[in-house]
Amino acid sequence: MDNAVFVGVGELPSGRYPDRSFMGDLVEVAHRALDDAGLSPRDVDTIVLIPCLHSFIDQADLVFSRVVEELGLSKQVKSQFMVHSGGSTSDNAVRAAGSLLSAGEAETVLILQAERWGSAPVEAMIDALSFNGIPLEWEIPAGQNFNAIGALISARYMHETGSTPEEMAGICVALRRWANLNPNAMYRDKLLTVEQVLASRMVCEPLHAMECPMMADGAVGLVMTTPDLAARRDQESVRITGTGGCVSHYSLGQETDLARLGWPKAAEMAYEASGWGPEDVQLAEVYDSYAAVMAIAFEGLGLCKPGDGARFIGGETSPGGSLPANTNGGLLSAGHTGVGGGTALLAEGVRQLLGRAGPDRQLPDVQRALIGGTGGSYMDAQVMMLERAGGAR
Amino acid sequence: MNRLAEAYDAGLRDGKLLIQQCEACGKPIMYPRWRCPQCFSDALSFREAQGTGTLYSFTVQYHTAPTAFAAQQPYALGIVRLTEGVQLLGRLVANEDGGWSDYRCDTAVEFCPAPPEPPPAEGPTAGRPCAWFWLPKA
Repeated sequence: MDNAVFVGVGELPSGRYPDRSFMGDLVEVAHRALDDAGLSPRDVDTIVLIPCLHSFIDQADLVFSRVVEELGLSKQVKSQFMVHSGGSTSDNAVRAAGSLLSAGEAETVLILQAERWGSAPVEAMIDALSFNGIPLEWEIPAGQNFNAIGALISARYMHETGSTPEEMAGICVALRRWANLNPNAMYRDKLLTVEQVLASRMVCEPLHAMECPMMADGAVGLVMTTPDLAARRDQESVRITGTGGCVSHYSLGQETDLARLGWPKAAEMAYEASGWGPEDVQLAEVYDSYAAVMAIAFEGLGLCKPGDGARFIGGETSPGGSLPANTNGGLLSAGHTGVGGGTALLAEGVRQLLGRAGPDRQLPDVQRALIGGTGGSYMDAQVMMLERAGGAR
Repeated sequence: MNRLAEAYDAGLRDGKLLIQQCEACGKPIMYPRWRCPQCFSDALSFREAQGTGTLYSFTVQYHTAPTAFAAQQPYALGIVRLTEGVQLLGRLVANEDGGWSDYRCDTAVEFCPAPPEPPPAEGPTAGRPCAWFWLPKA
């Protein structure tokens, strides 16, 4: 991926927006991302779609082709397709797009994602989501579902590390403090305390309601191109210095190391490839559908001491902390936009490195960021190492 | 359903927990597979598990279950590591007080041959059984 850089990011606010539409949001974030890059739709030769989960039809209609027509790019785009690996899709979409750019198969790639979870009927979405990463033959008959998956991981993590309910809730509070600085976050105007989290109703032990992600509408666009083109167009850019990945399981009931998952292996691969390590990370954007999911990733990535994930994230990653993380508020406070939750974290990392995160939450002098993604039943760990590449800020 | 699930379900309906065994390498396999994940042989058969193990992790579901399971809330799910060295997700039988406060991670559990509750009659796996576990009787 030596020949691929990010040059633009577009995003719509996350939350409940019944007046917006799936196609309208895709078109809007496409234009926002291209505007951010200083480009026109006519500069794009490849479109990569990240799937939605709110509607089978909106996935089955080959939406990646429809956006070509909607953007006015009929007979101008060379290639269009969808990448899907659940919550880690954005990492794999970038892996695909970056490889095409590096291989000379593409020059300017538009990556698009939109989700309508927040405006869809909740029970239908719970049922649909409870097929993701759960084997129909072996686990659905027991009543397995997405919150139970988060709870089973949390329970084992707390058992092995001795992390307390207060410390787990502290992660949610750290994320909320960032969301309060992000105008696109679902919970931008709601403050949160540890006491509030622990007083909310028990949903799936040990998870309280405020420790479970809220389904949201949301949309993100990203523009990637080659370093040569970015230089010729005088664009600021962000490069990928290395990636790592590890697919650990499909069924949660088959995972033998719930408190570590695939993170240590993915981290080793990414650090080896990028030439810089955890001590050099200035910003982390790591999948956080549940507090334990983020804590386990932090430990496996070596961003804190083993067993110390919850305490470290609660104490060190909120605004003003030693290692800012999930600076958009994360899935838990910016909103869980399905497959888009990880895409929003990636977009925030790129935006911070481009220096475009706005006056309230832009980090000073941030050069290096780590992106961590995982999907479904936390079946994979994906790591992307990003670095500010150049262009005048 | 397919023939692996049918055989596994038939075992559960008879009060037996079945695991696969590879005839070629002798390794136990769970969940049931089409080829041995260790040696890739297709000579696989079912045998009855001892029914003993430890509870790796568990949760009690109070809200947000899938529609078909909503009426069964609260219910407890646990990942059990069987003595044979394989693991699976199952349901946990409640204590006499109706709760699950006696369960802990790493505690010994046993397969319960007569589940206290039938599977949901509706939903994507209507009528299909699952494995239940309980604490060993003192």
